Amino acid sequence: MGKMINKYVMLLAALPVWLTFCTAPMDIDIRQGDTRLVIYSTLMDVVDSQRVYVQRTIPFFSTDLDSWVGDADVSISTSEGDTYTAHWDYRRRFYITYEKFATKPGVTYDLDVYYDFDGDGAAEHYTASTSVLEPLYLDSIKVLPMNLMGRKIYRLAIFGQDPPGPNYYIFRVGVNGELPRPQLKDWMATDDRLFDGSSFNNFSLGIYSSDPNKDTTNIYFAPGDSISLYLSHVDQDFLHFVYESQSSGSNSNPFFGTPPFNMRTNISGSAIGYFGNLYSTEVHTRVPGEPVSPEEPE
Amino acid sequence: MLLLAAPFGALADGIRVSGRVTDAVTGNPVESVNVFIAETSQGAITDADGKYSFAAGTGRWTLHASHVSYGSQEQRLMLNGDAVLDFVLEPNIEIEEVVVASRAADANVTGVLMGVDRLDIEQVRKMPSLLGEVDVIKAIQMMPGVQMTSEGGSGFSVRGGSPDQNLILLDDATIYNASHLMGFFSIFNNDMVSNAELYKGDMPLRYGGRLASLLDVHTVEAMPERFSGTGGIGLISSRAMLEGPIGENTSWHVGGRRSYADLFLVFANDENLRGATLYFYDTNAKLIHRFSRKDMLQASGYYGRDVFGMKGVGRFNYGNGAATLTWRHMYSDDFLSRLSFNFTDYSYGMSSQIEGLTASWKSAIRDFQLRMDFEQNISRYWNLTYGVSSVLHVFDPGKVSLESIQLTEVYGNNALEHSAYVSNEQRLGNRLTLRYGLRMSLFQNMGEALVYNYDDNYGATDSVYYGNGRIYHTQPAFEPRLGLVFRTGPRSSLKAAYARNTQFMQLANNSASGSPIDVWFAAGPNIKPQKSDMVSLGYFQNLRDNMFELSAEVYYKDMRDVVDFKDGADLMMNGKLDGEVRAGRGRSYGLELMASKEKGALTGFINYTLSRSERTIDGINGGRTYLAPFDKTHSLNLSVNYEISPTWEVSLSWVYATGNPTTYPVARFTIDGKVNVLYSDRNAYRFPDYHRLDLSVTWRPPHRSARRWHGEWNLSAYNVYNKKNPWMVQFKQYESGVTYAEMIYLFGIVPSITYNFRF
Repeated sequence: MGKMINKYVMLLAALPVWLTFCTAPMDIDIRQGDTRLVIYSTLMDVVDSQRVYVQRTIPFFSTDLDSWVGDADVSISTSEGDTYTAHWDYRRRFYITYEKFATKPGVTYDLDVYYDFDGDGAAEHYTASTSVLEPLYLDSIKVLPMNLMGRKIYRLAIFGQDPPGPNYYIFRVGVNGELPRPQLKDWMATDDRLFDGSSFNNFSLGIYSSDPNKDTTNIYFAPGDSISLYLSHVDQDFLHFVYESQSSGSNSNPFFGTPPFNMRTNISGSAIGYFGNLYSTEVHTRVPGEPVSPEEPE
Repeated sequence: MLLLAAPFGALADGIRVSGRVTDAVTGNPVESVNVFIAETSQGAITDADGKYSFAAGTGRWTLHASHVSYGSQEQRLMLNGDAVLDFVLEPNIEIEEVVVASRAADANVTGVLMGVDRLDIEQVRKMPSLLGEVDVIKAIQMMPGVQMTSEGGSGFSVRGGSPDQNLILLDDATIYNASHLMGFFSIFNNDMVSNAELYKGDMPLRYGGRLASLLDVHTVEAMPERFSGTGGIGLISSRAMLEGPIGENTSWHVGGRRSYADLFLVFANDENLRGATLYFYDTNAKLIHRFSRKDMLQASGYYGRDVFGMKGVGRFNYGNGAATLTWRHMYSDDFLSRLSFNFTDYSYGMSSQIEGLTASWKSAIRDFQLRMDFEQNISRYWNLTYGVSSVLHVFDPGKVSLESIQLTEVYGNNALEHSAYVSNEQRLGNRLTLRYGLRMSLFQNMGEALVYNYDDNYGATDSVYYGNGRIYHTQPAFEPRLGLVFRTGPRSSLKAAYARNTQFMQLANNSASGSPIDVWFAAGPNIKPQKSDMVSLGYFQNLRDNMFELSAEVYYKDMRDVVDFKDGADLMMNGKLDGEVRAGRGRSYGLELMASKEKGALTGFINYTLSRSERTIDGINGGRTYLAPFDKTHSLNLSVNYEISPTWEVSLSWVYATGNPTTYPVARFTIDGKVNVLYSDRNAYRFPDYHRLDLSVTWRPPHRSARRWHGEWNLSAYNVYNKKNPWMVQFKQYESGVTYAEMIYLFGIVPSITYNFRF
């Protein structure tokens, strides 16, 4: 919600500019940069084969498709002594572990990728590590119907206690047992700035439409729906990687944006990308009956 | 001590004092006025045009003007070069004050400060303007070594510095955001402004606290002879200023502006825009009272707000408040003091309906300053200034209220900034003048504050709470400054200067343009003050009786602990802002050439700047050196005004500059189905070069002598040849999947018409 307020403040503060600007195509001569190796994987907490993506970057204005790498040696080992080897799934264009496993709190996972990126005949070794933090359990969640200018919407509120110290969270919303938007770009990521070390009662996590035709998030609620909230307690670096990946490539506003920058990486060597994990706790509720106007009292 | 003991020889004459004497009621020239120096009796009688001119020696003199029908006036004058003093005489009324209409004609050659651009408001009014609103800051942006930070904006970069490294003063009160409407207008109402001076790093020791420059804007000070007014009616804003005397010793001045562009939004196609609010207003007031010849009290105030709103979104407002109260006392003709209290308030606030919830956001910074300054002429060749100042800064970074759900507040804090200075200006022989001095500052962080401690990775480890009024960190600074001017001829000089500046406060802004929601924050336990050392050298030459002024200056500036922000820094409502800051080194250097024509029907200037500005900061750009955001290799400005006749006048401005540095994407890749980009090194590319031509035509209907009302029509066009100068570049995809670049530009050709008047 804090980011939502920021968005509205920016919109209002820059109103004179929005009322005056025009657009025009322009030519940019971008020098060809070095190609980089990209490695990405987020280990999940469901017992399944885990995925690792390996690719090369391609020039920004190129019309080429993604440049996936299929001849690397990929494995994941754990602090408990297990090692999981992955193989290239040609059809789905990623590496997948032969054995199924799920992330566990307190366990550290190491990723090893061997690949001859520079073509000198010897494979370079790329490594990364991620640890699963102790989970946070929410007390409850609540879906509150509202009326916004004649439009029925729902507010998803959460109730719980933030542990002392800085904490970082990723939320994912499920409807009737499914995650409508399971990809990283749709995760909700936040720090605990708004409720640092204290309880968060009725904290507004998001607004959801009741009308799929007007909803831009592809997540919409209907009376009687079963709503699940998956909460992952993550480290600061992973949270910022998620932020940076979500905003990467978006256009920077000269008034409020930051200078463009490359997203962080925890992959060793000259590769970019990230190796992270999600371990989630779940809490459920059901969408109440007909929306009312204005907001239903607590 | 050696300098103090140096013998002073008699200085050569050859300096001329000239001017014009006019009738305060009719404005007509006054003939046969006796203008003379009391101490030497050198002087002259005005001619039929009211003009006088005579030779005088250097020194501090009392200049008298007397006429049997007008009484007399006198004014103290420091003469170290040709001077122009105009007198306005009231028939048979004794008036003490002389109106000094202009600086000394050769001040650019004789003045010991370097890198100074002085703008008289009459010069500014002759320049073409955006939307017909004449603007001091837009004129400043055309000076050598000064760059505008974004199209149409009020931000400016001086010698490679960032906009927050400029100290902007309005009658001695600090202005933290000098923009209206995102910078399209500045807060300075040109009817209220009398002049502005820009010191590009080598500022008087009286001032400090910024690395790059001092912009010192003064409102009107002349005693009006009668009730009078000026103003203008434009397409999107209008302004007015009224002034008058109260008795013989008191004068008042009030001014105001209001824009009304939002009235046109009712014609917008977009329903949301039809309900939008978009305006600014500001007011100025000034009261001057002379208790006696020796004592004068001056009160000045400013208040202005911008208000933007959209239906269904909310309302946002921001603005400045400033007030000064100054008591000037003359102990003797050679010794005066000024005691001032200055107050500044910059704040912004928002109220909004966000998905049915009422949210509000408030942020502010306030200054309370008390200062005492002394100016003492020890002898004809020795001028001493000294003083002390204390400022209480109150930072209130932000409070967010979200109705019945959350209340968030970033802890505010306070700081005290004390300073003491002494500055000495001495003439050694006929050719050499020295200026040297020291400014000492003490910056103290003061509670109430919550201060975080950080580890080596800038992660907050713990925090300490300091109670209200408790000083928890003190940082001293010593700022020596010196300069010299060596007269190489009657109309030429060589100057050199060294200046150290320290900056204790900076703006949390990471973007190319300043915005109204930027937050100022102080140096403290985690952030060292920024420091700079600048050396400069210049040659100044005037030609044809000071009709033409030529100058060439070179400078080199070394900056330490200069501030930037980490990649992707989160600067809004962040209580751990210190952890977002990265500090390192910076340097800038350049050459500035200027030629101007000061007299005649055709006046104007052309200047060229060659410059470079770089930063090297650990944690940014991999620690590699990168171009500062406002580095522009070449910059060329041309301004010409031609008075065709008393009724017709045309003006032209042309601006050219190398494009701003920028960072472009060079490669792309996919993560979890989303396209991500790999960027170049920071500021490795540039926007296309910027250029723009502005024109204006002014028509003054013939004036009937019996009428006090004077009107004129001004027709101006901004960006005459419709150059699309990019303000921002974005990248989009055609349906075919091909990526392309698209610029956002703010202004095509913008014509405007304004009716200006005075009575």
